[in-house]
Amino acid sequence: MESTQRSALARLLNGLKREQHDYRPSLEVFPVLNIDKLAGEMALATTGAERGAREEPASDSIAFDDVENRIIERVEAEKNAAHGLLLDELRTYNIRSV
Amino acid sequence: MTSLDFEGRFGTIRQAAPAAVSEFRSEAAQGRDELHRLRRHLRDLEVERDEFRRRNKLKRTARWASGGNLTLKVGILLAIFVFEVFLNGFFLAKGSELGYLGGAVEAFTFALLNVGVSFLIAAAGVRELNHRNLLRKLFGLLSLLCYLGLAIGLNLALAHYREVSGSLVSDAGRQVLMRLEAAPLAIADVKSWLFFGLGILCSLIAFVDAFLIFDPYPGYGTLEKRRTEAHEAYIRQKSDLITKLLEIRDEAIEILEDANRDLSIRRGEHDAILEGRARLARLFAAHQSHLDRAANALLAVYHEANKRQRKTPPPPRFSARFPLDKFPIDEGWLETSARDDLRRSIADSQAVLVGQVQAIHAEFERAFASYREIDELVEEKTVAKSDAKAA
Repeated sequence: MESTQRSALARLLNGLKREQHDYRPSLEVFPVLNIDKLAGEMALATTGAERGAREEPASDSIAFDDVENRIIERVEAEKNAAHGLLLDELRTYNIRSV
Repeated sequence: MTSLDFEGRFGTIRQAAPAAVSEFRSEAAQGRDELHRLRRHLRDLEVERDEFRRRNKLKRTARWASGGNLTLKVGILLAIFVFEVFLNGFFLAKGSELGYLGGAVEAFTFALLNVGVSFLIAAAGVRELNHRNLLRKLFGLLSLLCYLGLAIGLNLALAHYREVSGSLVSDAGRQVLMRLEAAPLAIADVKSWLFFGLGILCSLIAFVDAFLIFDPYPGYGTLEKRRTEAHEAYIRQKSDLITKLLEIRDEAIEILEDANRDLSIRRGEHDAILEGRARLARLFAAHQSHLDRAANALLAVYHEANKRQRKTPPPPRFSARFPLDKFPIDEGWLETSARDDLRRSIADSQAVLVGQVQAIHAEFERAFASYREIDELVEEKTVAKSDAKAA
């Protein structure tokens, strides 16, 4: 009971300490990704080890597996969001400079 | 958010700058017409004055009292009148049938007759003695005789009235007339003679005052006064117009210079915007590189953990680098200076503004010179007219 209670409090504390986003604190227009946090959230090390023990992906596989695809999609999504922000800012500059 | 709106500014400058010069020119022309009218009126009066002087053989300038001088002379006249009222009151106080009020009315009436009529006869009649016209001279002579008769007669009558009213007889007026007819100089009391002398003195002062207030030559003072007023009106109008033109010029120049400064500020803001845009594009390029590295770092975490647990060799892609597709950066985004056509338009507009400032300065000089030329122009016309008349 005590161990369950401690783990619940630890979870609460972790939740409080956890950052609300995956970026490093910064004043930059395009925030820098926090790789360690993202790797933890996506459980890359654990998933990699589990899949490695099962010999996945196969040695002769060419296409990306699910985990790799998730990583690439996450980064692509970040890139697209940054591009959208760039276009919005450029539009503002263009309106002002005309 | 406000835009720099260069095209709007260029349009306004192209339209407003020449309009400022046109407005200035029209204001100057309007002032010139008005000034010309006043100058012609003044010239007509000068001609009339010269003709008057020539006809009447006058070589001196006209004299008339004005301002403080006029106040002093009118003050003297009023003081003499008040003195005369008190004098009459004092000397005629020996006995009045009509009481105090009647005595006061008598004192006032005689003073008005003695001072007022003396002044009026001198101003309107005796001055005619100076006129070249014989008839008017004769009228002046008659006026002088009238004045002498009135002054002596009235003051003698008053002296007799004093004596008669002192003996408390009724019907004093009739008695005075009878005494004047029988023996006008038969005044017994020395105070009555003193009263007579003071009355004559007051009358003479009022008489001379008329000559000091108006020019001795009839008509000359009035004409010269009209000419002087017209001259003052002309000078005042000229000065007002020049002041107004100066105000318009300064205001227009200030606006044009403000517009010039505004263009420079907008140009600076435009450059700052371009700088910001280029910086943003560079940051985006750097961010894409960062994402490329982040993707490879995340893949590496997964691959390394995977490789450590497996017994078979990993797929060949585990050792290859993942290339992230990047959005291209437009070269135009990296430009930090204004477009050539925009630079040219700004320079052209600033040149227009500088040119218009110079044009307004030149227009002011022209208007100022033309105001001065009006004098010469009117003079020339008058000389040409008199030459034609002589021919």
